[in-house]
Amino acid sequence: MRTLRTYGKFFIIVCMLLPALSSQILPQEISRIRGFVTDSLNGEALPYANVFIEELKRGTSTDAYGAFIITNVPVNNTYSIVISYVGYKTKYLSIKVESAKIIEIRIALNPTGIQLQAVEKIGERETLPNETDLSIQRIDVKRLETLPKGIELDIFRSLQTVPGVQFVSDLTSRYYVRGGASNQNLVLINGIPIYNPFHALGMFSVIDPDMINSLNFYKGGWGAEYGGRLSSIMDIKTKDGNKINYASKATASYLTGKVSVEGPLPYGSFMITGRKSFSTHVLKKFLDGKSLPMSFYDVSAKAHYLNPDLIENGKFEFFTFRSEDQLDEKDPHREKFKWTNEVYGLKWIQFYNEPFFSEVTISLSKFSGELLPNLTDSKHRKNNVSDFSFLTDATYTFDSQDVIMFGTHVKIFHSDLLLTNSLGAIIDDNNSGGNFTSYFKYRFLRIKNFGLDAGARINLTGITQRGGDFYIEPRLSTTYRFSPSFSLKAAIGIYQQEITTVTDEREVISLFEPWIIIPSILNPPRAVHYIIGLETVPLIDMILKLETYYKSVKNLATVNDHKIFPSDPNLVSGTAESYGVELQLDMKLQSFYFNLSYSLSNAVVELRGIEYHPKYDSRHNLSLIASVDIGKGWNISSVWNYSSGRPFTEQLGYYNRFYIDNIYLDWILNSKVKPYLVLGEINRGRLPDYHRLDFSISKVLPLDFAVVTIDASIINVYDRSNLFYFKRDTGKRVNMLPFLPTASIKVEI
Amino acid sequence: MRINAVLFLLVLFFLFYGCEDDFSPKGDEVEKYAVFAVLNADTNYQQIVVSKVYQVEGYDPYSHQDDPTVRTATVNIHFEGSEYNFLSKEINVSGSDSFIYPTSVYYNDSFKPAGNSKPVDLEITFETGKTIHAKTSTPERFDFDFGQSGRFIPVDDSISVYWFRYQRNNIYSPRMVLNYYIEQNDGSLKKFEAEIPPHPYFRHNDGRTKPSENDHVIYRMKDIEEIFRKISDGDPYKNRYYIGTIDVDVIVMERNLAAYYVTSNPWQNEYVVLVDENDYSNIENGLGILGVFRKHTWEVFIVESFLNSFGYKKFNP
Repeated sequence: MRTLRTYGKFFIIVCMLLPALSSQILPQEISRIRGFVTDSLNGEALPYANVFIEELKRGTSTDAYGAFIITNVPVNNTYSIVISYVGYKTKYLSIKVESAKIIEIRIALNPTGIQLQAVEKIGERETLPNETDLSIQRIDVKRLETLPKGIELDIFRSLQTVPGVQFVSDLTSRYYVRGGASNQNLVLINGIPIYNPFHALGMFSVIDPDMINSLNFYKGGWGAEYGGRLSSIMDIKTKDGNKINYASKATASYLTGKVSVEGPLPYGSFMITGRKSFSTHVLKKFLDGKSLPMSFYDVSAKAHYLNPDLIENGKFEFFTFRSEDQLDEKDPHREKFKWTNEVYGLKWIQFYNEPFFSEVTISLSKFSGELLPNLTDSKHRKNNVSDFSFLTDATYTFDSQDVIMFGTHVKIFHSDLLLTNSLGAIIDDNNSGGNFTSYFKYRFLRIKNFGLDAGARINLTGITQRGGDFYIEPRLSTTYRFSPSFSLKAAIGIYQQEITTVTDEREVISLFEPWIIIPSILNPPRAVHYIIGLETVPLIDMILKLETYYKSVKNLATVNDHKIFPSDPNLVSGTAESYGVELQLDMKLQSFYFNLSYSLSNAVVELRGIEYHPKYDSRHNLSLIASVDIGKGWNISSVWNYSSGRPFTEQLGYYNRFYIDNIYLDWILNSKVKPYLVLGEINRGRLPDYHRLDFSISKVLPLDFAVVTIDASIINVYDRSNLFYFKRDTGKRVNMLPFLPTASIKVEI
Repeated sequence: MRINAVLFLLVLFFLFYGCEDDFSPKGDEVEKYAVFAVLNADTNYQQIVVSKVYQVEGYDPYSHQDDPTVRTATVNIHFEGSEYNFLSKEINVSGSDSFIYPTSVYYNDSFKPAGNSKPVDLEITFETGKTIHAKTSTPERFDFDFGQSGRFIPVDDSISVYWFRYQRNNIYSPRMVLNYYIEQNDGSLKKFEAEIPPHPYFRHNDGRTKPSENDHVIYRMKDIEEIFRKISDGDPYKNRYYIGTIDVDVIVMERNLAAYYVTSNPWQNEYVVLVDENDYSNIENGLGILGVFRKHTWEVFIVESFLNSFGYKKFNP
């Protein structure tokens, strides 16, 4: 604790000194150029577009709202501005800067076409030389659409090709990042957390890719603006909707049908997406032939309002999302399950006449999971979670190009868990807590080849009783570019998580993963990330990234699998440690794209004095992606994934166990005796290696009235029998997905 | 196009590469023993079963051809300063056609683990020299709550029996038994028992009582009347039936036995795939259970006019 406080004080001093350096005297006659980059066809913001002033040899990239600002622009000059983005024609503008007043420009880029191969070289995003982007993965949904999709495109599943992200099977979208458990991952849609982002027992994510405008995935070392989880952040911004024309899209796969509608509104636009399962027959492939009477849907709606007469340079966004899953056999002698996510959010984004913008967000995220036992012996189980958040965030860009970000996040969290344990005792864990956090992040970007993000997240009050102490989470990320083709990066940070799921790690497929506030008998889990990386361009059109990390977690809240009595704690505290090396190679050659991702990692959990590898700890992970545009709308792609064996607990033999059914009778003569499996040390064995090749071919047909995309994929081309789990009673293997052809069709009007 | 050709060849290669690894979930064989010592604090006769862990070819443990029961170990229990030695004897559990049921038990007919929360230490030494230990303690005696427990029937709706829980984490297994007698042709009385099911909250769907941590049990009058009717169902000579008392027996299992009982009867949903089952043992370096239970009885009296309404008589000892 003392060490953490010392870190905290050090970081606060460093961060307070950094803005002071900005006060150096700059030329008086300078101006700033602020702009918004959008798609000319639909008015949608283009995040991460490149903006470059040729005369100044300086540039920047747009943020998630398509906005950018370039400071320190001398007046009385005319500048040539180049705006470029993948898949769009580069635009050249000439702007005369005559006064110190901030200049605002709006740029609409024209798409080059519907095929990616038509993208001009200049359209590719160039990383800023001093960008502090260690362990950040920007997921390109357009590119994902060209790769094998499985049953249908799933954002979570696509993380399988990101080094450092692990999956335990083809059959679940739960992901594990750098040795952390799946409940250490935060999924944000427009800044609002989703507590159960899965459909169909975790097989698919609830995030419809069609609603995504940008997706940033942080594997570690993220900045002070994010908090509440130990292992990863997935930050999704959804589309505003077509601001120019009405448009619709319909897609059908083996599993779901989905539609999206978007169009302009007076002073704004809207977008509605909906997806519903219509056949779960294909899920038999996921559950060893067992039928799964599952139905699910998700629907999202977003509207934005931008009226300069009402608020100049301001806009409002309203977002709502709902997903529901039901497992109902329509039989009173079987249980019924229901899971629901509900999200409501209102955001006010304001740009000012200074290089300053702010966001105010009010949101409510709710999750409800319930098991209704009907006439079975199961017990009623219920979990309700509500998360009300009030967030204020602000960003100011100095003329020196340094940036300061700061804000306050107020979160009121409530969880109610109703369980009946096997002794018949009712556990009603009803807890609430408030988290008041302030953060600041200073981005030192004035030196062209050096960038430094220093900040801290200051928890003034915590959700948990133990976390209620004043607690600082310092964060630091830096980049030094030695040459245009070589840079070194590093990050360190402390992260706290005050809520967790009651998840039994032994469950291969689980039905009920309730969220609870860490009980007051435990300290909240805290992690420290240490990351070092390098980025180099060994050949033209090739980028190589190498990262190594070490992550340690203390106070790891883990389900007490030794719990028998209600008085036994639900959770016990352990520690965890993980480390590894990750390599990522990206190559783009005209119409050919190739990606290689490899990670060598190790994760260990210590609980009750016993150390073991968690079930997702695969030592080696390799992923190869190849994609070719062969012209005329045809695209061929292939993905090969490999993971070395996951840990499992070996079986040592059997013993004859007495099942005392009636204690009133002679237990030797009247008890059932059955052989019972004897297990070895937890997770000491390793399952066979996993590998799978997927192949996809797609054709885009531009018709008069619509654009039709037909996609045919083959999952597991060479029918590899990847072991999911084995039935201990029979030794029967239950394998993951076999050779499985799939197809989908998309119609865009 | 050259790249396309490479890709195509790659696919062809993998098409002929379909495979499945040889995999065995079995680890190395170990010397490990299972001990079952469920002691009754109300009697002098105690039994212990000792067997060893075995492996089989394949995955069918019933195919095991060697008897895993251990006969040659030295089995002792230390209790209140005395050592009780257990002797081996052969048993034959009827209907057993495999080596699943024990063929031998250890017994002692002069050991009564009475007393409240008294430590019980078990020590077993095997021929190989290996020794295993287990510890538990006797369950605390408890008292019934006279204030809340019903003493007479009939009652309007239901009768409850309450007791005081002096120890945490014990399990209570209640049962209500109607003691009755039927007059035989020679004029003698033959004793019978009929168990009355508890309120549905306290029982499984099949009618059995659920042992639980609850401090009470409830019996509905309509269930009691149903049993009163059933005992002479189809018999026109109701006056041959003599009704004694109704006993509510409550067996208390101490913490270890309770934990073992609970993990022996887990409930789970079919969609949950749990690879490793729950198990509980207090045998150090071994498996099984050392546990103690004790029975307490609450007597319920029956108003004579009630049993007369069924045509029965009161039993006078």
